[in-house]
Amino acid sequence: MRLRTREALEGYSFSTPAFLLLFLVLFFPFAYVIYISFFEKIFGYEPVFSGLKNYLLIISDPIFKYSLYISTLYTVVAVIFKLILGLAFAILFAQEFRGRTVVRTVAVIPWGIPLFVVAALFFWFFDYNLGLANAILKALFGVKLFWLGPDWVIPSIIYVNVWKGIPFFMVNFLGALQTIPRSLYEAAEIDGASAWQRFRHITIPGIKYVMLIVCLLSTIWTFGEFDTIFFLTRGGPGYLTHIVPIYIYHQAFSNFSVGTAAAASVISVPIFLALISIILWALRR
Amino acid sequence: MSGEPKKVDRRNFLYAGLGAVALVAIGVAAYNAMNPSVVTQTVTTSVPTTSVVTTTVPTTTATTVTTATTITTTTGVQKPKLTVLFMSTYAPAINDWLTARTLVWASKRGVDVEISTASYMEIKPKILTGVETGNPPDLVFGGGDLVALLAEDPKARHIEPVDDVYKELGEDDMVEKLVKWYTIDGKKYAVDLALHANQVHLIKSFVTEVGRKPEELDTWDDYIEFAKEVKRRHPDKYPLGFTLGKCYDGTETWYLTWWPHGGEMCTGRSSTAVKFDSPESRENLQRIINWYNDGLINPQMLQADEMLNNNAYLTRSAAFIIEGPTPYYAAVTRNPELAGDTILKVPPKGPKGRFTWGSQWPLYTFSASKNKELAKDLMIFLMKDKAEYKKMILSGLLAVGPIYKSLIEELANDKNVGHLYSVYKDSIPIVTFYSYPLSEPTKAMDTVQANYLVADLFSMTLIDKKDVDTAVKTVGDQIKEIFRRTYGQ
Repeated sequence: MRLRTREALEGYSFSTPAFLLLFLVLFFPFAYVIYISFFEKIFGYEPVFSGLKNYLLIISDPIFKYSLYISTLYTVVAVIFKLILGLAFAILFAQEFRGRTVVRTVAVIPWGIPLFVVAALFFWFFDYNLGLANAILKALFGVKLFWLGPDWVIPSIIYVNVWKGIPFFMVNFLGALQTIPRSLYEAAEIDGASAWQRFRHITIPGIKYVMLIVCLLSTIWTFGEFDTIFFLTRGGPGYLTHIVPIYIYHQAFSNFSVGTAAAASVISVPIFLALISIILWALRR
Repeated sequence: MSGEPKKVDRRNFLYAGLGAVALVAIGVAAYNAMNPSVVTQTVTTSVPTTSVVTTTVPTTTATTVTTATTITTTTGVQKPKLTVLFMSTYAPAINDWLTARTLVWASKRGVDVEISTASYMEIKPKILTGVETGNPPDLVFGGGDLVALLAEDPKARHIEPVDDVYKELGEDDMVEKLVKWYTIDGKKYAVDLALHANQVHLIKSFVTEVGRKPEELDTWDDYIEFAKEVKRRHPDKYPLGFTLGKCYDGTETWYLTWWPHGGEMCTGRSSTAVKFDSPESRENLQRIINWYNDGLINPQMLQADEMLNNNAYLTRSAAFIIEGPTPYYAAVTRNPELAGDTILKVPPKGPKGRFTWGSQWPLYTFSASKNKELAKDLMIFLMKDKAEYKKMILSGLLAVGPIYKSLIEELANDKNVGHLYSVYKDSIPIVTFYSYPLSEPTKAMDTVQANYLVADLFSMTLIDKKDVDTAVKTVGDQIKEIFRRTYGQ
């Protein structure tokens, strides 16, 4: 009994520093966000308790509803494209061909570029007058597009995210593909399985768990992404790319309202978790 | 493997305990590092160095640093450290001047300075979080639309009055409007580094091409007629380089076209004093929509980006823009041919007169600052020596004008640059701020401006396809609500 107590104490004493650290950097800020969401709190002013007022304000704000919609759309579409293209590139680069190492290395470069650099690159890439995108379009088809204008801005920001994110999917899938025994494919081939059947019944099950984790991580990162979109569009034109993090930023630093920014953060958590659950459920199937 | 329970090693307890202690120690050390023991410094001009610090603080002839009594001669004294946050302007020479003069001051006073710069977008979050955590920078340049927010309410007055700075600099010689803009309840809370007034950047070759002379363009009707003529000749151009996005310059587009046509924001500090929802607002919005639909404004201008109008001018894809002349600075430094083909003029006149937007470039310090007296001393150092100050103005290549009336007069009469700087002399009577006609700093209008609410009019009508009435009413109601929330009426 005494030994058990000592063992328990030992366990607690080991875990306490880590727990304290975790509490300080994770739980405390989150708890504070929940706490402050019940207060009317303007920067520089003392908080005044306001009950659920901030939540009611946020829920009734059509821009917040749109932010949730556009964040979800942006995340889902971007993750689907990254999944498909990442897998396609992984299968392609898993083949033996001359210069494979060089191509693989080059393909990973976008993943290594910091977000703000990506944003700066694409800011100029999409520029109507000076951008490379329009230079190419003009040379090929004699037209120019307003890439970051109202009609094209959403596909444009999704394109940037996909461009940046594909290598992450590709590298992970490439690693997973190499763990699938070659003999499985050979046996399937002998049994007369088509390429699609081999892909469907060997490749996909073989990388299923990696796929699950990669999609999960990418969903979390994409939903919470701020830098690239803020730099490229600042949530505009109008509110077209006003994703949830930008909405929260504007509540805090344009509206100066820390309380409503906190309420918006808290409200978005269950929605975010629901999105993750749906993706996990879909992938498990 | 034995089934015997594992014996607990006492050393493990010790390690765990040490780990916890180390964690606490790191926390305490980090806290102390962020909150050094030197707590106050006051600057005087003539008293010799106090006995407490004479042996360790570098003495200067002009300034004495008196520290708290916790500092002793035996433990050594930290030099006071001034944290300075500068907005990076689009005229880098001005920032270079600021940095250089700050370092000269620091060297003369025996003070350490930590200078950081932030873009217009970054500076507000930095200031606000500094205020919120009780650790604001000692001196700020920029964040002009935060001054009323942080100084108007007596319950949350975070900015330190600088009336003594004005006294030193000579308030009588300053442009009154700029002084008034920082005066709240009879006290002054910031001092403008310079006058940054919007000017028309008119590309002369477009004007001559349509058979006109720059001096003939005076009213809004003149300019629009000119723009339409340019469009007829160059269907690929968008002659009006006006930003319509939800950003600072988007609001400038609204105000610069609205005021001359009778637009007014507020006459007092209550929701009933808000005058936004008016026929003038509807007419002005319809006017801008028509320009957009006529192809005079590039659809790209709906993006929230302050650089778009600058780029439109620098690439000659617009015939003119109206902006604080930092694009002109860029042209002089990067495209002299364009600069030579540009004339700076005060903005067009409308039926209700001529107005220009006066951006705020303020210097201020905070009540919570441990070095506020040093910060004020730096403000005086930067601005009192008019010969040095003039160098900063000239280095800006017309990007800014001086805040001193005497210096504006001097520059406007200069035989070399007078013809250029007279535009600032002409600007003084027409400089207008976003709370016009109240024209006083108000926390509610700071919030309206920080939200770029008036720029929503463009996206509501041009993107969301709402009608003009709905857009003006929606924005008007939002402005009233902000006033109601701020002033309780």
